[in-house]
Amino acid sequence: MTITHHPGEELLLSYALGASSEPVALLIATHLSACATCRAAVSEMEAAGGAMFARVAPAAMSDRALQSVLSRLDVKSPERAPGPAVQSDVPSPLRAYIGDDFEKARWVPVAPGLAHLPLMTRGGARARLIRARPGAGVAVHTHRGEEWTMVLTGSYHDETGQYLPANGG
Amino acid sequence: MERPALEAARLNALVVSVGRARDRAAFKELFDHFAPRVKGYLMRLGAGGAVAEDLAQEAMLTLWRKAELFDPEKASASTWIFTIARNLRIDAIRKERRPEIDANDPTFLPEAERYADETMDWAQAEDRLKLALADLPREQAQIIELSFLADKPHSAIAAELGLPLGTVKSRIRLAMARLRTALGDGT
Repeated sequence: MTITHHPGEELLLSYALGASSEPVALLIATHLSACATCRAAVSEMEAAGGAMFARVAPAAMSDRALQSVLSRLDVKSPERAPGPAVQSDVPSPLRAYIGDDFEKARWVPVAPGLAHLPLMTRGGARARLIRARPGAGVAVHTHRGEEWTMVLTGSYHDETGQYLPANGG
Repeated sequence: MERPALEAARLNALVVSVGRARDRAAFKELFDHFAPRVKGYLMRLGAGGAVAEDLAQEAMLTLWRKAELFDPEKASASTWIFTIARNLRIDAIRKERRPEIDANDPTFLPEAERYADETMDWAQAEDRLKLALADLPREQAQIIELSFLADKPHSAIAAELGLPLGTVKSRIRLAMARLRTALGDGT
């Protein structure tokens, strides 16, 4: 599968450095789960983040900080061991939001052949899934601000072209 | 008194030692080096001293627990701690989740990774990156640093600087091209 549309570098950089809002970060992570090219780009950006982090002026820790941490080293962490690998069509970053089965997710019908699933709203950004039957059209609509779409399965086309899985446009 | 900064290769070796042998002496050295930097990073991003101190301690506990997962062929120790601090901040201060990919996921498509067939020395790469960052033209360095320290999308950074978003994007593209060149040297 050749991916022809990728998130812009500014989106990848915000994700790598921790500045993207959660809805945008979810979109980027979902794209990364299918795109080795952008994963490599994010690794490079994280390395740049690491180099900048290495240059940050240190702030002195309190006198007891080290002792406090050492005394907690052997406390069992509440973190669970990773569960068995799940067979699922749902890209891993999305599973925390909708589970591992598209069929069981809580789709809300909006029009014949068309359903959506709002994921979250944070600040001014929203993320949602849209499911359309083959041939279904989305009514002409307008937006304020920016919009990104990623195809998970199937394809769609609009006035700017044809989109296949993992392509963000 | 502030100790001199440890070298990237030394830091990598210390994290590996914690991961393999639960090496407390190595952990103390890492604490002395990284805890004040995590605290400084969080404070630069607007956290109060007490919160930054708590999260820096939390980051060091995470380092102890996850040191086995540290892979020096994937990132330098500083980059790895940076990602731990970044995620703790998103979780504890922004109260958001950090969506990430799961590399063990069977649906994950491991196509040809850019660095898969060559061994990348990320510790050396970090030193080259530091030089390259210091060498960036001022207007490019400014955007990269704001991305690192402002916790804002680039549209907000552009508005703040009074620049068109396209200009911000092209500066990022130019800066990343230089940083990639720096990463590529020496492999």
